[in-house]
Amino acid sequence: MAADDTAAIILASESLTKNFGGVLAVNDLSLEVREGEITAIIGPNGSGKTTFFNLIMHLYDATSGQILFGGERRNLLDLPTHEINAQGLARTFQTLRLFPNLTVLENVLVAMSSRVNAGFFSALAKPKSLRRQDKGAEEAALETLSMFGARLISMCNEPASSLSYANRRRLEIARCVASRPKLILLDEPVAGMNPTETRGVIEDIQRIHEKGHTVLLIEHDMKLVEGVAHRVFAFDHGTKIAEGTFREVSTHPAVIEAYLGKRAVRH
Amino acid sequence: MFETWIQQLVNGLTIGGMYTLVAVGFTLFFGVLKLINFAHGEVFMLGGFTGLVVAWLAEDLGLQSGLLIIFLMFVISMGVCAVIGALMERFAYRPVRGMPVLIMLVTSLAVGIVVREAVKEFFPEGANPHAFYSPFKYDSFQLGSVVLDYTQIGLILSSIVLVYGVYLLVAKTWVGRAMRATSEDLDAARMMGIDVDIVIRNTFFLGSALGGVAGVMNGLLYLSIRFDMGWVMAIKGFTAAVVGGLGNIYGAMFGGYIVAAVEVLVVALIPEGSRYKDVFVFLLLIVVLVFRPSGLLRAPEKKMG
Amino acid sequence: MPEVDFIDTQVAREDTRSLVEKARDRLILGGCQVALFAAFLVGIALEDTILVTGFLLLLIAGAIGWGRMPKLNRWAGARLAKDKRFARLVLIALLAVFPFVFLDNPYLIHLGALAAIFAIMALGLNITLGFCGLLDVGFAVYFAAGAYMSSQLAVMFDVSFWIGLPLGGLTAAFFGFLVAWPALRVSDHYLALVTLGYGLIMNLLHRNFTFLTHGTDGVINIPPPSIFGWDFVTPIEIGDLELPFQMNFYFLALIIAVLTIFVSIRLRDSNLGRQWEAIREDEVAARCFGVNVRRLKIIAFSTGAFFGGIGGAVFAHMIGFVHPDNFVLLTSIMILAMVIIGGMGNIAGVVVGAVALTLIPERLREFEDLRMLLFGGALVLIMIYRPQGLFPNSRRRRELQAEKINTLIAQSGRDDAEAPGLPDEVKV
Ligand SMILES: Nc1ncnc2c1ncn2[C@@H]1O[C@H](COP(=O)(O)OP(=O)(O)O)[C@@H](O)[C@H]1O
Ligand SMILES: [Mg+2]
Repeated sequence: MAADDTAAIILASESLTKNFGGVLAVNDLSLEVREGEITAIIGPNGSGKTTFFNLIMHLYDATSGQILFGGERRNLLDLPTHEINAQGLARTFQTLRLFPNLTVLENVLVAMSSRVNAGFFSALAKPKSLRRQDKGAEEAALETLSMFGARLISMCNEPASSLSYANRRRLEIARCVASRPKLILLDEPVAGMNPTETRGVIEDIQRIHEKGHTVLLIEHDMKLVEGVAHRVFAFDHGTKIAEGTFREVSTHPAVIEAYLGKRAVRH
Repeated sequence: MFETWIQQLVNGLTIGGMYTLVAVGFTLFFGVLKLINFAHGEVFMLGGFTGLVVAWLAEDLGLQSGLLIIFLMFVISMGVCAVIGALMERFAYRPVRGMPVLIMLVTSLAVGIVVREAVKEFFPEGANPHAFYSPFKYDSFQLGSVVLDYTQIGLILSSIVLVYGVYLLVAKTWVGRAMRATSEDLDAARMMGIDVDIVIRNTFFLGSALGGVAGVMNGLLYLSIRFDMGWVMAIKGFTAAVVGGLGNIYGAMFGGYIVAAVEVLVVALIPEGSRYKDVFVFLLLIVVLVFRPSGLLRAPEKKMG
Repeated sequence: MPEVDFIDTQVAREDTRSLVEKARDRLILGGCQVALFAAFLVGIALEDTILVTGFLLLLIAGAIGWGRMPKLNRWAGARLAKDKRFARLVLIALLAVFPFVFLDNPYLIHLGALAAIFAIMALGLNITLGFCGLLDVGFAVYFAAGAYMSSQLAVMFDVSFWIGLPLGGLTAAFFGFLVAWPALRVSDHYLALVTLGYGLIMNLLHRNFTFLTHGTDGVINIPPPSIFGWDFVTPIEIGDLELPFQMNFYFLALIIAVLTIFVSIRLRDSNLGRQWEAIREDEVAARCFGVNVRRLKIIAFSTGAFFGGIGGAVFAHMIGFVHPDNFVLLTSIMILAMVIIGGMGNIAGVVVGAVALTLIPERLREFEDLRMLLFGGALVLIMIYRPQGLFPNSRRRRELQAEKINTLIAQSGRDDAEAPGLPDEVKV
């Protein structure tokens, strides 16, 4: 898998820093994500990967730096969180954040919030145009669910809390796809899964990528991204310590040191 | 002028001490259970009524020494309230432990209703105000041009002693350490081998005992108690706890004095202030919650993602 | 050709059979509704205190039993779902007929009107709390806003009830909007404390802003609503039959309650309602998917408050007297309890909760203050044993195009071959 350095830059982080009362979770981070690729961020626990995603969605204010997105290079840190999705960004959460008491289908429908009419008075009057829009949204949602085989769609009327663990992770991904983003952010999408499930979800991710989505995913187990990611960033202590193809990054001394500790490099 | 200010200062310190004692309970309960125990105000009220019963009994027994009677009132109402608090915890709050906030909240409101109505119904003449026994109520002494009330001075001193005692207990003893560990992270405390149930029970013993003492103090100060006086005190108490940062035991110790200061200042500076002093206390509550939700002492960030 | 004929008859036969079945189902459903309704009315109308108490105990036992039988719950739910529209019609018919059966018992009709008023308010709180998950412990604020606004307009400026009613609602909505602003910055316990403090402040102002509220004297002599010179305390006469005037208020409140239910259903089933629920379930995730949390919370507070105000306005003009004691914390707790006991988010449940909590304490007046003790004790027990309420808000299944789903499943053609997932809680 080769990284294509001519592809357009879809997301750029510039000297991004986040300081949590003395803990530098993200520290002077600069990187560029390119359109059409699957990019992976690897790094040991606590290296600031999730915090980076939270900053992209503007869940926290950054201490300094900026995050530029898309052709217009808008600084996401100037936008409120709920407008970032409309810009073309959607994410999953490391610690699953579904809407447990909503049905599987409704979980996906909520992800279309930026595109549907949620007006108060139209909710009361319920005009024809709205009914048509709602029906269209429902069909699109079912379509999205069907990308995961029968697993999700056969449960579409059940509460999300009744899904198996792996399928909950899938539903999180489905939610992202349904919001039609330009860039999908996946935070440890296979965490806690057994090898079979992991393979299944990785296939799902690759299929989504084939449908034309750009993917940025976090994984702390380095080996998992081999053969999946076109480009890999390695994080440690909140900053990027290596970048390149999987092979380049996995043999980089700084990365080996970060994963195995100093002694492994010396000997 | 100077005399009035000194007098206001003494007033502030007296009621501030009571608020602090109540606030410590709120903050302790919130720490270990993530529960705002709205029934705590009723425990305070029960403390007052227990003190009254003690005074009646003392009279029957022919006890003469005012100090001794006050001491007995303190100790016995502490004991009674500690037990009542622990019973509340055992039979109402433990079954709803870990349930959604709303459920715990309504439970504590309902427990409060039960206690209040029970006193109203079953205490002799419970629906009417009762004159409280206060042996030194007219005794005062002169310090320069300032007249000081023995009862007030006594209350200020005893609340400081009690709060200092709580501080020692929480900061220096094993029991206190277990409480703090449980407040910090209940699951972690459990994994470290702390019996969380016992810690929570101890917390209710301690917090409710302090509430009870505050109830006696309130009676000694205002000379009259009522079945429905708990609620106002509850609001002052949790405002004080919020000002200090809910769950922050040391914060509650000064929160009570801040609430008292606001009250005293409103009464002193605003015309007709005494009618609006509670409004300002509630405003203080809302403003602190909105702008400094972790209290005036510190401001950590929330964890997401 | 004979074949076609044969098929036609078969279809026709199936049609009649399904018609017969439908009629039978409706008979059963309607019969059950009528029987339950009648039993409830007879019980609640009993004169003798001991009998009423016995009936209420029976009712409570029934409610507990109902909670203990999930199968029956589901069966009844499915029955209802099959023919919802019919069930609704029957219920409305029953509610419309009920006062005519009790012409000699105006007190009961008055209670019916009161129950409808509290149902309006509880439905309002259900929007804020049940749909959007916002803890509002100061709901009496909106009750008061509607009551004071419409009654003072009528008393001081002679403004008609029909103008005062919507203005009362809007005033309350404004008070909801006011608390939404600070409330946006806090959640859970803190939100509860903020709204509680808000309720207490407002009640102190009710007592002290005498130029607006007449303080503890209360607003008195509030005129009843009137239409074209006929006012609501004049009984309607049909022939020699004089209908008690309480009926006028009953139908007024009933119509408004039905409208409130309609609005609740529309909101619940809309995109707006779904986004509210998303906020209730996980605010951060909702925000990340484009839900404008600030806007939606403001709407939830204001809409809920609006109905609180509407209830307040009707209340004021029915009772004719408004006093700060009507709007104390206990009132807020009562309305909160109606929503919780009924089942948060469940519209029918909330209405049942409101009716029960209005009628039961009224019928226990003999017990004087002991009933508050009973209320508190019952509330503790409910929180412990049935915190989700009588009718928990189960997911409403959407009626989807089944074929569509099946084709999608067939197309995707991949089956779930993997082992069942890991246990639910995986710490990462
Ligand atoms: N909300 C927060 N408050 C304080 N510290 C935080 C917060 N979020 C993350 N951190 C700290 O920032 C560092 C990076 O965390 P995180 O981004 O979650 O790491 P990763 O996802 O790479 O495992 C950790 O030391 C963590 O404790
Ligand atoms: Mg992480």
